[in-house]
Amino acid sequence: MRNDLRTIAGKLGVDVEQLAGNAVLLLPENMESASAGEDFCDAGDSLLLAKLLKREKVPCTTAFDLGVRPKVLDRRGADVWLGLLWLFAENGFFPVAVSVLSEWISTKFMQGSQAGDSESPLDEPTKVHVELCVQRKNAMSRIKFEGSARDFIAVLSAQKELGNRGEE
Amino acid sequence: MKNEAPQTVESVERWVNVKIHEWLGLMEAEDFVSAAKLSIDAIHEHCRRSTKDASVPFRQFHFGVRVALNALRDLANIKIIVADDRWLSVPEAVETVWGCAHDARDRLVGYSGLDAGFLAYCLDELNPLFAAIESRYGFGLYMSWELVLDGYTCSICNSDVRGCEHISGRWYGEQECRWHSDGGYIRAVSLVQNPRDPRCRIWPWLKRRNENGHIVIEEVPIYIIFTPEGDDDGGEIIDAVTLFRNGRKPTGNGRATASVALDAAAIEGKPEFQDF
Repeated sequence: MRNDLRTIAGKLGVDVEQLAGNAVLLLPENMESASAGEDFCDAGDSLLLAKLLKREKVPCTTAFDLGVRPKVLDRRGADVWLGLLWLFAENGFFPVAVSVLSEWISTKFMQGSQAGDSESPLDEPTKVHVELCVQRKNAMSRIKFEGSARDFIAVLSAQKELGNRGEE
Repeated sequence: MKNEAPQTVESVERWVNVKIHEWLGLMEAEDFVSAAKLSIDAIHEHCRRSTKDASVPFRQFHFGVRVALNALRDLANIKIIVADDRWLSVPEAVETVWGCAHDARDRLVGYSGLDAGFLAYCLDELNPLFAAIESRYGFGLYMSWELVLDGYTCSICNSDVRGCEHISGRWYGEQECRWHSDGGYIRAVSLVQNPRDPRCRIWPWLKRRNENGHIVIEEVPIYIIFTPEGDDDGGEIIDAVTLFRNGRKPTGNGRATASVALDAAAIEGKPEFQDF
């Protein structure tokens, strides 16, 4: 069964209300398969992303913030691993969250491209690995994304655009 | 005891500009050994400058100069090797050039804050070397590990980094934030085409067949400690004669390696591994 907020809250041992008030949840990448706190693993890149979001005052909660202490999975590849990223489209901070995320990914992408030798696979766009959930009042979209940074930013822009239309 | 004038960003900048000018002259004259020696001597001299009571901007500048001097040494060392036309056929020479070229590029792009024109000149020296290696040996395969850690501790506040606001590499007052890993074990080692550290490359000469007929890959670095500022001793000048005659790789350069042996039977014949 796929995770919904209630299931996740149950696994983390918190009330579902503690999750719903956020703009962003950055959760362990094995949230679905792991059954208990000690098995959870935060994706390495999610640690920095959480800090960047919080610095911009985006209401963002991680499993650690909720009293769980997941392990951290550090991969020595160039790709970006974000784990389970849950965005709440109705939250007023949603556009800011998307901007922070897009800007951060763009920066990483640009750094990867600085190396020159554009024909080398070393300079291929950094790939992003994330399970992206976008929660709206009456619907939720879920994307298991593994692709280029450029495509991920396009996905985020589309979600932001949808959010804008919803406000009109 | 002689009283030395206090160092300032301006005085160090003048000093390093003179050193770079001298280094460029030696490189133009193709006296690469002297260029490497000049860089190493300059690192010695620079490391003797005390930064103990210096301001944060001076310390950052001091660090950048040290990184830049290390890059100059790397470039001179590379030139010592590639001056010999045989270098692309000698495994130790190829590995050394590859490692030094990545060290130099990381130092030049990431840390030094050099003048843009000089930076472009240095990078232009490196790009043909990467192209030559890729042309001969392909884009390559690399080792990449997955490490399960208990977490990271922040050097500023000594707490789990998930519970503080500090960001690794940023300065907070007089202190630079560093994240130190806690505990951990290697969960998996992968072969990848897009590594975080291209120094962990699997070269064709690292494979052999064992008694079962399987390809075994040996002595592949899975982790290399790279410090942009290098060592206080300034590193070493590549001894090209020994390198080409005995295949001895330089041991210094502030790096530590761990090696693995892989039974590569599972990847034999797969097109994505044809470079290998």
